Amino acid sequence: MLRRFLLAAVLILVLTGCSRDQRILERVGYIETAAFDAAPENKIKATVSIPLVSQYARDGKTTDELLSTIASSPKQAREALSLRTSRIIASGQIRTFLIGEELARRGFWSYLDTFLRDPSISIRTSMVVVEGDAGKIISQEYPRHTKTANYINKLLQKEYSIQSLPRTSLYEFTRDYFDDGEDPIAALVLEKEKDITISGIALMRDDRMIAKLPWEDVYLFMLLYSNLQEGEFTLTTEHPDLKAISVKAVKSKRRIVITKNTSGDYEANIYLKIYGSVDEYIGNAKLSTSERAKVEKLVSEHIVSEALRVIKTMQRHRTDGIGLGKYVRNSMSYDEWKKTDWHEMFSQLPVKVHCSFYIKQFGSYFD
Amino acid sequence: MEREKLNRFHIALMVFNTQSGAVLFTLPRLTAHDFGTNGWLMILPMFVLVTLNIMLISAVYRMGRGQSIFDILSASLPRFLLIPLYVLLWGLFSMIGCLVIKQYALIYQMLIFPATSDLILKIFVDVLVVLYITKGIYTMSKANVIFSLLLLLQIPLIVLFVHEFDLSRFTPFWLKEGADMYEGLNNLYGAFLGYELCLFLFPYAEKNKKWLKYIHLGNGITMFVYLLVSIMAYGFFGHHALVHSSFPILDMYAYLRFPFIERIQNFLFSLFLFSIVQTAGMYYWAGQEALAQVFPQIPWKVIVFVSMVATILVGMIPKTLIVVESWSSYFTFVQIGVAFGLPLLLIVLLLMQRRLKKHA
Repeated sequence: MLRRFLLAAVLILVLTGCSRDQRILERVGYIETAAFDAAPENKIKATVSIPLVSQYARDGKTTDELLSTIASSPKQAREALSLRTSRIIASGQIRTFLIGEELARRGFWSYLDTFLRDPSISIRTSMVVVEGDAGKIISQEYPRHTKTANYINKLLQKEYSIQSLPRTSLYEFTRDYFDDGEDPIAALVLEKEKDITISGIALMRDDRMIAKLPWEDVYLFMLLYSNLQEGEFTLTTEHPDLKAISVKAVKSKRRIVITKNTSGDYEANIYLKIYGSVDEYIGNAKLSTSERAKVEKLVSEHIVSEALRVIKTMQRHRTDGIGLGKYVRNSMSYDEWKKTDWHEMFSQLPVKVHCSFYIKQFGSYFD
Repeated sequence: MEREKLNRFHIALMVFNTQSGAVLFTLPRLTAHDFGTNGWLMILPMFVLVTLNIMLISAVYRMGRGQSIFDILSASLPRFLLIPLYVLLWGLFSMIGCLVIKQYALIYQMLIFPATSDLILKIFVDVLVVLYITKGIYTMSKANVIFSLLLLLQIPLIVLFVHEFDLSRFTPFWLKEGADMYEGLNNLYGAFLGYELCLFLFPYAEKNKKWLKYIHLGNGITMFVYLLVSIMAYGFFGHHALVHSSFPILDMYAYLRFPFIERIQNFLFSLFLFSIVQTAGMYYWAGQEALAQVFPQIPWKVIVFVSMVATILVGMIPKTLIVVESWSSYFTFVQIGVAFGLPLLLIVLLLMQRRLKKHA
């Protein structure tokens, strides 16, 4: 009995050792969004928004706590910001990193170090490039929307989940950054009057943003980038049989085949197989008849020509966001790959796209 | 009264759970870093090597007809030679047990309690381990069934990573850009260590040879889990990203998100406590078995307690994770020597004893 009592006493004493790591919600400021912009002398301007969880916020008097400073590294910025808030700053709830375009074009890998090193930062945190000033976006309130940090986060999560935007979290970004056969990408957002809008994809080479892919082309990029399970897209053409078509519940399969001809030149063939349900169709053909095949063919041809245009854009900028390099690498020997300057080779690589589009069903309107 | 014998299947699970531990979290990175591209393939030859070593241990059991290894040793060697050997084995096993706990405590500290002293975290586990061992090997073997299940039940989580899995990230290259082949072999073999403690289970196992196959079963489960985890990690990260991830499996866990809970890696990592308790428990237990031969008059539970206190003191010397890992690496090297050397020595002794008997 005495032994048990002693053991319990010892355990209680030992347990007090953990009190140093206790976190009380009201005393901790959880950063929800962090924005980084380029500042002079190779420094960065960090802006963070920390939602208030206390009584004040409930009364609607104040919304988020907003802090901004100029520093040489994200953690130095955090230290400086910490001096200005009454709460302990914690990074465990960061949902979005916003990076200003100027900083993105300058390159920002070194600033990502802490995000990978600090185990409290989730690798699911979204990486977003802002056209313009990132700090400005989160410092602003958008009247008819929820709180800004929350608004951006929810907007991105929704777009990821309906697959109209490739998921660009810290995990995908670093994975593709380290892969020598693929370049990373990031979502691109823009402040538009009273809203924030997703404006496309930032194409990177290593950690530098090189070019923008406008949102009209994102669905093509998605088809080239991954297999879709539940995507959707709308396209319009001049052809009388295909003025406009909107497809939802898109299932697509991408297959990449690299061939080497007799003279030793490589060629990439991308085969796309797309199934989808028609949600809207404007044109002369009747989808219930055999004319459907004609529409399917028109869509396929349109996707092929547009996809080639997107690939040409990437080739012109020497950035391989869709990961063709992985397949080229996998068809080479180690020495040959090491001798290859992939970005250079990519810009010259002949690429063919083959697409077969199938209409799964055309909805409740019969024509 | 007939003493209860260890169940064969329980032995298999004990072998599995003693082998696997915190190393699972680093294994994919170790293979990628030390061996280079597609380093996970090295798990297979390593498994074969371990299998050979287990066959060596089986041979000791068969030739000695189930005698305890201490009986074999004392039948041929004088006591003044055996005492240093036992003390060495005790020190080695206890230190390995200690380092396993220390490593776990330091990772735990990094993840969850950055400001709490790692000594306190370690002592928590130490107390558990002492309580675990003092229940005796039979109870340990039964408790371990639950412990193993807690680990094995995490395997279905793999389904959640299938979307991010991409075969094209594996590269067709074979062991290129590896940092240190020898270090890698040592570390990877170390990941399999734990089966050699079966040498000490002879008197507690059933008196036929069937249970020996179950050591292979346990080792097979380990290999299966290692292979599965490594293949998933290579397809999830790709070679270069893997090399730069300290704890790839924790990062993979961190990627999981359920509608009701996020960042479950802390919870899943805590489940590994049971694997650590088993691994460390077995090593301390084996150390106790060895030292009990030197001091047969001291109650064995006291020996366990003394081993624990002694190693806590030594365990306070390495302060950082990287130092603990380098200590582990040295002890692993010695332990590999023991894993091969001890059965070989026993076989030689048994051969000599057999010859003497013939002449007699």
